[in-house]
Amino acid sequence: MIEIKLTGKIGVAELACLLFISNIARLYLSYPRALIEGGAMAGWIVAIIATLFSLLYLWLFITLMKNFPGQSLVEVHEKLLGRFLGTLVNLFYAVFLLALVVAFFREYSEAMISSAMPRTPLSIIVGVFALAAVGTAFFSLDTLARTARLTTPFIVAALVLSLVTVLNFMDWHNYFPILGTGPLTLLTEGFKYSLISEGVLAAVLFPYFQDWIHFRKATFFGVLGGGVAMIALVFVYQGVFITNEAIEQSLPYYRLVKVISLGRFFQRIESIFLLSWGMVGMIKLAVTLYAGALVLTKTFRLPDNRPILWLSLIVTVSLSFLPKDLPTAIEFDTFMRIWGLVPAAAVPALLIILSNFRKRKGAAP
Amino acid sequence: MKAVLSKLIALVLVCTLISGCSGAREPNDLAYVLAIGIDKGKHDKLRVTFQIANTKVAAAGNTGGGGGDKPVIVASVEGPTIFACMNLLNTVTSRPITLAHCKIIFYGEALAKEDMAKYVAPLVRFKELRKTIFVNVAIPNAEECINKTMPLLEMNPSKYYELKPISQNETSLFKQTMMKDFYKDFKSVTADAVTAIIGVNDGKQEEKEHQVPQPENYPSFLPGQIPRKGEMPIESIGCAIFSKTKMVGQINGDETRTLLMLQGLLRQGYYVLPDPRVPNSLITLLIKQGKKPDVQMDLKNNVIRQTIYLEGEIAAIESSENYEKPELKTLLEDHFNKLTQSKCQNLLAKLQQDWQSDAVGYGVYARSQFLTYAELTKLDWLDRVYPAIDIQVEIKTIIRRTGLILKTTPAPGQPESED
Repeated sequence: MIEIKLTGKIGVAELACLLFISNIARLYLSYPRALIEGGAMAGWIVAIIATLFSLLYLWLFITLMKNFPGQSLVEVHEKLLGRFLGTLVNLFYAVFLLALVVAFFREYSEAMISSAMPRTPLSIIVGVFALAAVGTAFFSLDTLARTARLTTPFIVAALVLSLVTVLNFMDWHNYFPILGTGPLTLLTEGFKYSLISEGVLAAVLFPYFQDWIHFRKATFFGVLGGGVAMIALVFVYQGVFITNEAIEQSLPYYRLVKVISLGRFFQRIESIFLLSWGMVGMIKLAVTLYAGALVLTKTFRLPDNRPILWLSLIVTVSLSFLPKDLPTAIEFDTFMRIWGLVPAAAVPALLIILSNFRKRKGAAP
Repeated sequence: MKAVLSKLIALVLVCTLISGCSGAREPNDLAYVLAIGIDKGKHDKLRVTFQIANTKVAAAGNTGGGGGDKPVIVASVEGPTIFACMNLLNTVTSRPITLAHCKIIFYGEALAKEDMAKYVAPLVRFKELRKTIFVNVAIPNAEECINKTMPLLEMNPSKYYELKPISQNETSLFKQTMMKDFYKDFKSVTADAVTAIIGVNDGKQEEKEHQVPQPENYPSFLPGQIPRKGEMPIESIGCAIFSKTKMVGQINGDETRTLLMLQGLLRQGYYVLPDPRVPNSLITLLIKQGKKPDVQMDLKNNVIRQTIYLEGEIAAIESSENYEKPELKTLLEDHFNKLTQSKCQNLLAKLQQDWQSDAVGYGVYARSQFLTYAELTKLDWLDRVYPAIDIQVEIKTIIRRTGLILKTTPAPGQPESED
């Protein structure tokens, strides 16, 4: 097994913060809009359903990893599926994680251009994100986890403050008819937007958790925290904007913070929130890039993940320029949301069945 | 060596990154638009008027300088779209135009009577413009109104637009609507938009023959009709009523207060009413909304029952009647309730029958009667249900305070109160 050296221990709080930040990154993009489009007035119910589904996917990974202490998802695949098939599945996971990086590089950078820096070239924004992401990931996972731990209070404070300061614009009538597009549609839309990559991330990084109990705690609180943040944002956003208006917006969070206006002096403060937005983007990209590179490193049994990190960065940055415009990038993201459920839910479910089947047959799980 | 190299790289990176983004624009190098007026063009499709802050004067304001320059510069450009006009204006000014600090948008009356959605949506999309700016309808046109806006009380012209809503809170004679709310009502299937109207008063109204409103309907003026003289020719009174995306009518100052009352948004206003016991004598009440109206919607029987709760204070009694006394206070409350109820019914008749506009927003109360959005849209509130629904309004007023007088006593020669 390949051992990547850590420079220190990683605690539950650090990893939970890392997964929380990774989970809420989608909150700053057009994702909340998609939930509202799916559920109309009940977009917030879609967010609840999606969170419940994502906790279910997480449970799959928690259950799967219980039988493989100290091993990462890469080793689990090879053990359960054999060397050849395991390698193929591992490569599929690496592609999945790096494809997420590609989508986020482009969408985050486009979001920055659309909101705060309309005159800055895309290459500069992508370049800064890439530099920040690889810079943090280069110093190993514990640097990344500690950065996440340090920035989480500021990110949460910014999020809470931004939601509280628009409460004066909320209208309770916006939540009615309460079931929006109807119960069945809410359920299917909740499933459609339930993809989270944090289960995969956590399973790949499993050896860095102190034990399975810590793994369970950190992943649960990270994903639940992210889900709560998403539900809160969609709920407040829907209270402020009626459905027909809410589904028009490309960047719901930015639109929300632009509304903040408490008297003549407390307004025009969206730039403060953009800082937290940038922090989240940087950490999300760094951890996903790190995990993607780690899967490749372990799959190819390399002694160090850093050369792969650089290679992965170059490939993902280059690919992020391929979509010709923002709608194409969002289309790619939508494609990922549906097919991403294969590595995030279907494969771990199959592996659990396989593992239990082996157990029953008396073999090692 | 490695540590020194790392620090050096970090230093270079920090210096590069904090020196500013490549698209940065210095605040001193921009021309700040404070107000935009959009009218129908004489030759092209639109005539857009920009009121630009003269930062030279604003900066000199605190030191007493300024050299007698105007605090604002006004320029009008014709073009096919708002942004095409803005682009053209950039060919004239030395500084690039920015709408980041724009406070208000005026739509000319003629334009407002067209499909306004196509003139509002582009501004909602535009990232520089904040959606918390105000939208007004200008009578007769936006250009004239902007040209005549003279913020004489303010050194900083932007403050004029920022303080305007506060004066609305004092009088409730107009309703300032933010762009986000205006756009929301355009998109809504259960409410119509309403916003303030402004107009030019040439100061000659006082000399002209004009009908003095009945005391109970005071002040039933529209912009340009207030009998007054003096500087500051622009006045805001009354509201523009929209049906879907078109302006269909105007309501005067008194009707605006009634509309706000029905919406549950009446901040406060002085109401003049004839004394119920003494002819030719007037009473003034300061009225504000007590609590949010209670609206019961019965879609089965096609009826809305609304109860409006008001609170008041006696501001002035001309006669020597002791209205502070509980029995007479009740009489006064009932008198006010009747007058206000009749005003509400008159306004609702106009809105429902003449204009088919749910400017009050009763439709939002219908929303909770349905479980799904499909059921709500099937209802077709604005076109089918609202114009025909029976709206019954009940007013409940409590005069909480009597000002600084607890008992009115007659002056020598005045008749004593009968009680």
